[in-house]
Amino acid sequence: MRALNKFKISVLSLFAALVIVAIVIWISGYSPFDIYARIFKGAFGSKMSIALIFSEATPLMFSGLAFAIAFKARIINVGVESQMIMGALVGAIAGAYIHGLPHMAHVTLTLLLAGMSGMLIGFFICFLKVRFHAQEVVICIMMNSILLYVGSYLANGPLKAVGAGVAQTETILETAKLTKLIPKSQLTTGFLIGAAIAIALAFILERTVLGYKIRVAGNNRIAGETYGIQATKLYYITFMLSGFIAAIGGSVLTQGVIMRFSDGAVSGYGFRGISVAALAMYNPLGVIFSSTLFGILNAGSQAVNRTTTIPYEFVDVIQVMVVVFISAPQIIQAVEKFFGDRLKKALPKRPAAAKPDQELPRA
Amino acid sequence: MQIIAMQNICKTFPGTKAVDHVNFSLGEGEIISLLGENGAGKTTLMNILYGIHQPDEGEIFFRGERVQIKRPTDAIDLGICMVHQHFMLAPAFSILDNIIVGYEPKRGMFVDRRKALKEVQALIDRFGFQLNPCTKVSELSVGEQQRVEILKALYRNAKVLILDEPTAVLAPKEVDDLLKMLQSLRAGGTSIVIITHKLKETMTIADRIVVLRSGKLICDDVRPANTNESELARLMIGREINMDTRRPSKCAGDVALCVRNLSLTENGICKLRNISFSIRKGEILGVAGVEGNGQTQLLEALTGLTQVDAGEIILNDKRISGDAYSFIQNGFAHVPEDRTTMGLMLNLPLTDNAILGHHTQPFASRKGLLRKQEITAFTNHCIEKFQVKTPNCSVLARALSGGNQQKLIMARALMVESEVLVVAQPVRGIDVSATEYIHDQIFNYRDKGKSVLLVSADLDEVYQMSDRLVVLYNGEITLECKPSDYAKEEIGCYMLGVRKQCPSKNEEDGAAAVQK
Repeated sequence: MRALNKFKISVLSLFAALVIVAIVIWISGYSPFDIYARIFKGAFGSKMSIALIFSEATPLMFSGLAFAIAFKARIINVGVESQMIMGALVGAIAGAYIHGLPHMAHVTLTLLLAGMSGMLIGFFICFLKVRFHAQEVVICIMMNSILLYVGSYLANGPLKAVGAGVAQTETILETAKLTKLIPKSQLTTGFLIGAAIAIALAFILERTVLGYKIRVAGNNRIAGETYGIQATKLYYITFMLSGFIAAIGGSVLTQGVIMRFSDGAVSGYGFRGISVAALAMYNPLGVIFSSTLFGILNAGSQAVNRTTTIPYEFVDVIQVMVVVFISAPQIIQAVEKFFGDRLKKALPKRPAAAKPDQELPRA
Repeated sequence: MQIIAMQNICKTFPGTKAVDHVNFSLGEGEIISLLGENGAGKTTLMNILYGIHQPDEGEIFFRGERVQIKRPTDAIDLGICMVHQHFMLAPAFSILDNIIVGYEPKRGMFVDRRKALKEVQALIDRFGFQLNPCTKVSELSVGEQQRVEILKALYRNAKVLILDEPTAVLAPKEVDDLLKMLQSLRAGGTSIVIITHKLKETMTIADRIVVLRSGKLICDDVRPANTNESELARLMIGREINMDTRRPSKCAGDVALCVRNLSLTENGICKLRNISFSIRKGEILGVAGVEGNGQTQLLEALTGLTQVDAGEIILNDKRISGDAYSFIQNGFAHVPEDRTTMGLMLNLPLTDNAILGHHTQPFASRKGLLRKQEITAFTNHCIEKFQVKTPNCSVLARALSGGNQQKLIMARALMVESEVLVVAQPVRGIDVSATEYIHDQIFNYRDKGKSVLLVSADLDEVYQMSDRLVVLYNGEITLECKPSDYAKEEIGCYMLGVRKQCPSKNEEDGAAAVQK
């Protein structure tokens, strides 16, 4: 019942966002039906475009999961961006400079090193939050900037690939690259890793004592502490877990798509992760679907972008509108009530019409 | 003659008919006591009058004219003011600022503070309160805060004053003061509605008693002179109820819990001074006192939420220390004083709430994995045993009424083996029948040979429940006695610090209890 209600709000929010954006498209002088049809066709047109859906969804899934798990403990980790950059960076270094490992070992080691680097950032932010009562949101935003420029510096300076014209590091070794699921596409095992993490998170949250404690601490810290569940410890665990997942996402980008760390190539995913997590109502399993949905929008809009002059940004507007509607569920409820009342007013004819039918058998 | 008439008022909330075709009238200079159990619709009816809720049906007349009250400001403009159960004061602001907020006298675009001060001071003097308008509200006692709320209403020229559970947090003397003040307001022509489920005050002060039961008007013209408490209780609940549930201990055994010389200083303020007492097996020790005299700190010390500066807590010859978790592991069961902030996760299902504190017990989890089926079975068992009214065990704790929430918390504390129950304000804001039930459960627990520490701001409750009681005043135990040895009024004097048991006797009693 409750789950159904949440699901309903998610779907209606998405629908409302599509309607609003349709109006925006229409005002801008394009045909919304045409554009939506093109997005749909572009996304599902071919095997490669379907591969693109999932490869576009992959980084969003990681950032969405990272944001969602932190939110379960009522931590607002808007620093997902910084942890992804860190992961991408560490992934690029470990992928390019660790030699002599077999493929499987190199991929795993690179992912783990990247994940641990994200954990470190999570730990640091949480330390400031717990020890000095810093607002995590502020620290997170600062970290995003810091990591953005640290990455930029490294790609421009000490780690710049020999002979490269632009700011990027050395290409990672073949042994560090993720296996492609569909040849020539950008869809790699990264998607499967993300889905596995989502399932693992759902299991941890619902079935383990740790997950129980996270939910308690996130729901009512004081009640938890009254009964011996220390929130601070859980803040650390959750923040580090969140950073770990985000950083793996960053490294998956490096090892599966970009093949190196390149200045600015990993930015933006962190914040879009918030939309993904919100659309999934912070449910890890839901993130698989919400990120895929955004993958469809991205893949479709890329196709539209290739074939027409229609601006690509419409899709971003859809994603942002979704967040607006989900964060303010009362808008959706009000709209629902508005149409519900209209519907009721329109309906009374039906019972009246039904009455004679009921009386007929009696007669 | 009639200042307010509400006719045929209906209000439905999802799932419940909160107010069902109720007629209500209030005369000029009349004090009405609006009686009813929790969920009877008293507060909802008054919230409709105050503009917080809109009625689905029905009309409101003010001095014979039909009025639409869409929001509280409409009500205030008519002279209808409400003092809520939870005070609406900004603690960081002065009394003056709290009183004038929203209705500040202005000079140009600035607040005319001098004029405001004069007016507020005049108001304070009129009632002879000992209040300095420049004191911050955070420094006031609960009783004083309530006076500020009432002053706030009077500053807005209240002709009708609605008080929601005004005496819930007051000491007996403060209650008397409040009632006196209300009488003087009535003499000045103010009409007053008191929402309450306390029968005693109703009998003392009301001109007329209106009883609601599950949203319906049961009677609206009972005079205190023509009735008695048990009849009112019957009207409220719809059945006979045992008003005097006193059940003395049959078999007090050896000392189970022994507390020695607890001291605690917080932010430089001494909250607990050398507290010593002991509780025997099969005994209820009540802690009486006006709120803010160290009860919270005592509870925190006895549940591992705070570390005391000195002293020890010994349960069955074992010294207990550490955090809340180790207290629970060592046989303490805890019912916290504030059920929604400390006791429940409102947005989690009952199953999650039922195992809070027991989540590492073998029945709830094994090797870090939750045992879903066993947890559901345990929750259902709690619901059944404690008569928690709920459709099933997966609804959110938020969906339960206050009484049922409290029953769930009691169930959680009592359904798992423990030695001592530390219970605070077990029936605050809870209706008569749930109160009776919860008290019964506490007695049953004691009769199994367990110890109970009961902390309550309600002296009647402590008096009625305890086998022995102590009074806390300013962090000290000022009296230790059997309830039968002292009259309630006498104990009230100890609560307010007017009297103090001579220390030598106190120690003797304590020592004697330990020896026994």
